[in-house]
Amino acid sequence: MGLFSKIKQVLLFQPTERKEKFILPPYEGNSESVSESGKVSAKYEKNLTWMKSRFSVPQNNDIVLREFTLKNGARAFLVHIDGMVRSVTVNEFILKPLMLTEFSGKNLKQQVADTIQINSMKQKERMADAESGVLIGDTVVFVEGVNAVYVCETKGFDKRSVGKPENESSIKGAQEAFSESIRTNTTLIRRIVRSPNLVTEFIQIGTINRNPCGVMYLKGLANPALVEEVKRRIGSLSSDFLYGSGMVEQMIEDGPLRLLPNLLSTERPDAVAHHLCQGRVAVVVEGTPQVLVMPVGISNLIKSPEDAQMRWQYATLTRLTRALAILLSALLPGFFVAIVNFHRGMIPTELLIAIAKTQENVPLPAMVEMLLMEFSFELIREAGIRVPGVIGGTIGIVGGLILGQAAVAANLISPLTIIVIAVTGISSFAITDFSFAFGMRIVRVLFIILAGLFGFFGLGIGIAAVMALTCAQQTFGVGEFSPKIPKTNFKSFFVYAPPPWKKELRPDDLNPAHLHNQPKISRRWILKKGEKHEQ
Amino acid sequence: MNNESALGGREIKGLLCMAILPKLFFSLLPDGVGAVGTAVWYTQLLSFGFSLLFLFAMLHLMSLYPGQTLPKIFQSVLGKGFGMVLGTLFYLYFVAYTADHLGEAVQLIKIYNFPTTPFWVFTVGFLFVAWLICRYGLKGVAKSASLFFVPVLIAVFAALAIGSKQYDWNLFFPAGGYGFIRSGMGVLGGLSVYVDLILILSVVTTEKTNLKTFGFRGMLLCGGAVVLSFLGYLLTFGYRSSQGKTVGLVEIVQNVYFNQLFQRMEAVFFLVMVIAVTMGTCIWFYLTVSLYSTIYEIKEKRELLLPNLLMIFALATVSQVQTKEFSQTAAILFRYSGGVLFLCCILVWLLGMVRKKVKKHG
Repeated sequence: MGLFSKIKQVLLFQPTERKEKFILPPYEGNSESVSESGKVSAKYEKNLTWMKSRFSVPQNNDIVLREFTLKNGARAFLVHIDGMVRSVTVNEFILKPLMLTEFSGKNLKQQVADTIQINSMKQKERMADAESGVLIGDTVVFVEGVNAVYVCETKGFDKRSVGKPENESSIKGAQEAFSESIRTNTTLIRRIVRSPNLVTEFIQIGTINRNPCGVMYLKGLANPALVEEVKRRIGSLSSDFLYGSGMVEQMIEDGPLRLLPNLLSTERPDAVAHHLCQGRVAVVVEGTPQVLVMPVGISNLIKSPEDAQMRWQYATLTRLTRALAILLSALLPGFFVAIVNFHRGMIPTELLIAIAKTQENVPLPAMVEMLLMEFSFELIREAGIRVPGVIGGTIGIVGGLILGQAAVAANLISPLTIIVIAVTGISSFAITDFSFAFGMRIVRVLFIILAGLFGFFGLGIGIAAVMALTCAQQTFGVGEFSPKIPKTNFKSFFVYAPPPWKKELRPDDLNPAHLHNQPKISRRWILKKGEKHEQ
Repeated sequence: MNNESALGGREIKGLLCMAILPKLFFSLLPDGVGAVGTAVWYTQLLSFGFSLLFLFAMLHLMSLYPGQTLPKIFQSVLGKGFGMVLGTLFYLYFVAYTADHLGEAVQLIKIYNFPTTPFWVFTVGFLFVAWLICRYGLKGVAKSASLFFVPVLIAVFAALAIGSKQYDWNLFFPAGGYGFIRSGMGVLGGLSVYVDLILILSVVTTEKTNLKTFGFRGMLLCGGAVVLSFLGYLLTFGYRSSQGKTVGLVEIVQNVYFNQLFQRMEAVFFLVMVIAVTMGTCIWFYLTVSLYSTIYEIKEKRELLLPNLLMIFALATVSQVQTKEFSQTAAILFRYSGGVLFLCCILVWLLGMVRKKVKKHG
């Protein structure tokens, strides 16, 4: 509407034109699949009609359906999805040879197969195979008179290259991280575990999106019952849309109500390789740069793959720091609230007076103060993650420093609370596993509330409940506090990081085929000349 | 939770320690010292020795009836009807025992820190956590106990070490106590500390678990902690001033100036006490339910949890509102009833041996 007509409309009090609102009607029509899949026919028209109806050609502009004629007069067509294939490969190694080759009358099926110059080419007899081939980026070729489809691997879509781990970074050790592509991820693992026993089994998940999901394990080492259970759980999933490891994790984990995670989700191939060699199973899912490892206990969630690359003294010190960080992260605010509210006798008089002075002008009780700061901290953290790069860092500084200082100056929060929250926040960043750190945050809030209401009584029953419940639970038949509770022969737990030459045994809670990882004396050079040792 | 599978050594030790050690935080120490005076430490040592003998006697009885727990053996030895009656009496005792301990713990918490808070808040707190854990069955309870028993044991010894600053070795004498009769009664009363043994043997069988080795080790740990705690308490407060004290171990550290950063540490031991009592309640509660289900052969234990929980809550509530005379009588009954239960079991053991021999010769 022009300016003049708008003025005229206002002056003449004309009502504005109302557009009809769109109302979403209920679904009408056939929601079933367009056509039933069956065997590939030797009849050209039948196959062509089926493929066209299945992929909604010509409405669906993503689909390339190219019809052509062979030199012997037989009609043929190929189908692929635009953007998911390498066009050069299709043109040079499928179309060109097929269109230029002279075929004799005998055994056309084999002649076509020999003509296509693709290393990974399969002859399939079911239309469903043709359909799934197209969907994953392959090119399918149908030839008149041939009752098979040629599924040629021509994948060539864009994907992110292998980058550095962003959430599990380390100074020593590998600097490669998984990407979104399942094939890249399985290759990254296979490059570390160069064993013919490393098996990858693909299972399709999601009835609509048909996402590939790879179950990786070392045959002859991983407990077959464990492998079967993982495959059973993944294979049983029934949902239209399943994408990425996060969704799969939630679909196959034990105890969805638990606060702490019970599967390891890592972006590091070296970590997955290490766990596979201990007898665990990995699940690689297309779509997210994380791979799931199972079964794991809490001891696995607080370790870093970097520990194995460091000398045992340093690694042990690092783990000790991490263990303390976990304790601080979960308990410090609760302890502070309990002591300040209920157990002041613990604190020396001078310190108590200092605390009282800082809280003198603060109108809020210690528990509310702490919860408020906890919420602010979470807000800053969340905003820092969502806001792009440089600004994200700035939010942290602005939020942390300026807001904190202003809150203290305005007598909203006592300085001690800021210190406690800051130490807690830093401690939570020292936890290696993202999900575990998340769980700890929930536990922390629970402890603050319990301590605020009942002091050490609340904290005591809170600790007992959280620890005992975690301890009583199992993941894929393995205890959360395994290998310590129930006690096993495996020496590495929470803090002590044994040197590589002391890691003779695998964790026996996994019941692997071989318990021994290496002989008692793995550094044979320490033996005297001619001396033998027991294997 | 119906799966009562084999327990490991650490789990057996955990169950024993977490059932016995929480009592050190109750009025057990002042009451014991008040009853037998300076003789308390060796009367406790004797009680511990007798309970060890009792353990071996029960293990022998269980070896005579392989694969059976104590309530089932009662039925095999005494006949189904009488065995069930005896088992039911044991069950009722342990329900009252759990409620009594819970009531005492709640009372201590109220005296110590929360005088105006209604007692049901704490009772519900303890029982709710116990119910949560008990849903995971014996294995879950035992695993939880095995997680906590080492820290609690360390805390007990740490309390005794911290309290050593105020030990007065003159209070050790005169070592004779109040004479033989009262000391003898003290030995009998001391057996009640280890009455939880019966509960554990009511659930665990010797076939699946190495009870002999790990039960013995667990008892050694508990016995050591109990005897040393009595000794520490005696050396701190003496036999005269121990009357009127309430929170046993926590009181030992109450008057000790720890350091410049933490003036007093009793709050930390209060925290340990709460954790220990929570786990203790969980074990007593679960084993009591398990005892009942064994006697009446009820497979679905989960359904028994709530009724038992309500019963224990009701009894614990009664213990809060009872008269002084009633509570004193109940305390005396609980002090000596452990010995009576032991005696019943010993009689069953003797009868069991006789029956086996008669059967062998017959």
